[in-house]
Amino acid sequence: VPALKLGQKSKLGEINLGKCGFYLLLMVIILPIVFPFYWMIVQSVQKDSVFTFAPHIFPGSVTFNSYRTIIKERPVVTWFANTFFIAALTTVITVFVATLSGYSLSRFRNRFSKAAGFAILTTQMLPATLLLIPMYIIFRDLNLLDNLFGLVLSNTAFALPMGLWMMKSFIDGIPIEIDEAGRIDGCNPLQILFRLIIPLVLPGIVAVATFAFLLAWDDFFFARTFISTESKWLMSVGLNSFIGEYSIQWDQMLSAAVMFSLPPIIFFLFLQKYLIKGLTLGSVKN
Amino acid sequence: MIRVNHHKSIEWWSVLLNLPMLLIFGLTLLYPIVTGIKLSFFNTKLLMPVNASKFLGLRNYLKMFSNSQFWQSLWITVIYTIGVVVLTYLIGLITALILNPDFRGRSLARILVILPWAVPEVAAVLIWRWVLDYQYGVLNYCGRMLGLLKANLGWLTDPNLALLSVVIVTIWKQFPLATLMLLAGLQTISIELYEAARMDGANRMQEFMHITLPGLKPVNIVLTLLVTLYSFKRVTLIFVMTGGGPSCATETLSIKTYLEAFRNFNIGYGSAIGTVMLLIMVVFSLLYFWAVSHSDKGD
Repeated sequence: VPALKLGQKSKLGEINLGKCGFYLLLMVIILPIVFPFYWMIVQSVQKDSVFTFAPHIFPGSVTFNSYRTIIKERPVVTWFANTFFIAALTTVITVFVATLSGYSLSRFRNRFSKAAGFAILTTQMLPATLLLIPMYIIFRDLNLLDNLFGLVLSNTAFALPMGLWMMKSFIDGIPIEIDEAGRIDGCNPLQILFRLIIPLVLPGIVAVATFAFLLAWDDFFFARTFISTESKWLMSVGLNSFIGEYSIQWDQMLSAAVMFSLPPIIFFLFLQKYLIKGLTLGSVKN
Repeated sequence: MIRVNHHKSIEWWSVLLNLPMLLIFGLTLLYPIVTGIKLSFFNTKLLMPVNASKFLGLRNYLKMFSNSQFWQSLWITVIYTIGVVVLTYLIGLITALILNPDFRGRSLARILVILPWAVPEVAAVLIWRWVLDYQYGVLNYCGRMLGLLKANLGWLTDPNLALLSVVIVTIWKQFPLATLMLLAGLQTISIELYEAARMDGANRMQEFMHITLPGLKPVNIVLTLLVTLYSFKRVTLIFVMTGGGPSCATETLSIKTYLEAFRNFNIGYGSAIGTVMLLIMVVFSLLYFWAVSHSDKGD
C-alpha cells in the first residue's frame, strides 16, 4: 500500500526529498544489520594484527593465513564434516517423518489430529535445558553419548514439531479432490501420498528441509553436552573452543566463523522463498 | 460404500502414518520430560546411578523458592524477555513497513535484513563479542572517535551493561523472523481497504491504526507468543556470550538450569528449576489464549 504512496509522489514530481529520506532510513536500518558480517570477513583476511587500538575499518592487504592455520592446526575440516553429517541426516529423517504425519494430520481430521496440534504447540514451551538433563541419562543408558547419531536424534526431535506443522499447512493447500481421484483408482493413502501428493508439495518439502538443516547446523547445546571426543565435535563447539580461559585467538576464530556461516547463508539465499512461505503459511492462516 | 470403508480405516491409517513421529516424540520428548519432572523430586547427582538417589518430595522446590538467587534469576529472565519481545516486535514492524512497498533495490534490502537469521547462533554471538570487546572492540573505537564515549565501555564485563548487550544481540539475531512474518501479514491486508480509507480522507496515522494494525492481528498473536516463549527459554546465545556472568548479571533461568545440572552436578535441583520454567510458560500460554479469545468476543 505504501507502494501507492511512493508511486503517486513520483508522479507528482516531489520524489527527491521523500525518496532520499526513505533511502536514508533504509540505510540506518540496514547498516547495523550488515556491519557485523562485514567486520567478520574483513578482520578474518586482514594482514595486520587485529589486536590494535585503532582498527582498520577498510582492510589494507589481504591474507588467508589464519584460514591456513586453523585448517592445519585444528581439526576444523572434521568438525565441518561432522556438522554436515548430522545436519543432512536430521534433514532426511525430519522430512520423511513430517511428510507422513503432516499428510495424516491434514487429511484425517479426528481426535488424534486435534491432540497432535496441541502437542506441537506444547513442544514449543519445552526448555532445552530441562530436556538436556534426562536426555543425557537416557543417551548414557542407550550408548548414544559421544555418538553423532544421538545428536541426529535430539535435533530431529527439535526440528520435527515445526516441520510437521509446516508440512501440514502445505498439504492443506492441495485440493482434496486429488485424494478422491486416487481413491477411486483404488490407491491406498500411502500410494496417494507418494504418487499424487508428494509431487505437488515439493516446495513444502524444500521448506521443511531448509528449516531442519539450518536448525541442526545451529546445534550447540546438545553437541556440547553429549559429545566429549574432540574429533566428534560439531563446528559450533569447535568454534566456541577458540575462546580460551585467558585468551581468545580472535583472528583464527573469525576465520572459522566465516567457514561455519557460509553454508547456511548460501543454503538460505537460494531456498529462502520456500522457507519463508513455510514459516508464514501456518501462522498467517491460523 | 467406499466412504464407509474409508471412515473405518481412517483411524488405522492415521496411527500408521504417525507411528514414526510418535516413536521419535516418545523417545526424545515425552519420556525425557516425564523423567525430568520426576528427577526434580530427587537428590540425583550427575555421576551417580539414578536408582541410588533419594526421594526428596518438594524439598528441591522449597530450597529454590527460599533462595534469593532464584528470584534474581527469574527477574533477569522476565526483564530480558520483555525487552526482547517489545523491541523485536517494534523493529520487526518498522522494517516490515519499510520493506513492504516496491522500491528499487527491495529484493537486495530484504535479503540483507534477513541475513542475521541464517547465521549460526554461535558464530553470530562470537562476531558480536569481537565487536563489543572492551580493548579492541570496534564499537568502543567508533564511539570514542565520534565523541559519544569518553572511555571504553565494558559491554560484556560491566554487570550494568551486560544484560543490555545480550538483549541487543538477541534482537539483532531474531528480528528478521518478526519482519518476515509481519511482511507476510501485511500482504494479506486487502488494498481496497486503504483505497476506501483514502477516499474518506483518512491520514496515514489513521490508516495505520484502523487498517494495518487490526489486519496484522492474526500474525501478531502467533508472533508475540512464539517470541515470548523462545526468549524466555533462550540459552545458547546467552551462554556463549556471557556464560551467565558477569556476577550473574545475565544468569537467566535457562542458564541457571544448565549450570546447576552440568557444572554443579545437581541434576535434581536443576530439573526443579527447569520444571518451574515449563510451568510458567504453560500458565502464560493458557492466560494468553484466554486473553486473546476474550478480546475476540469483545470486538
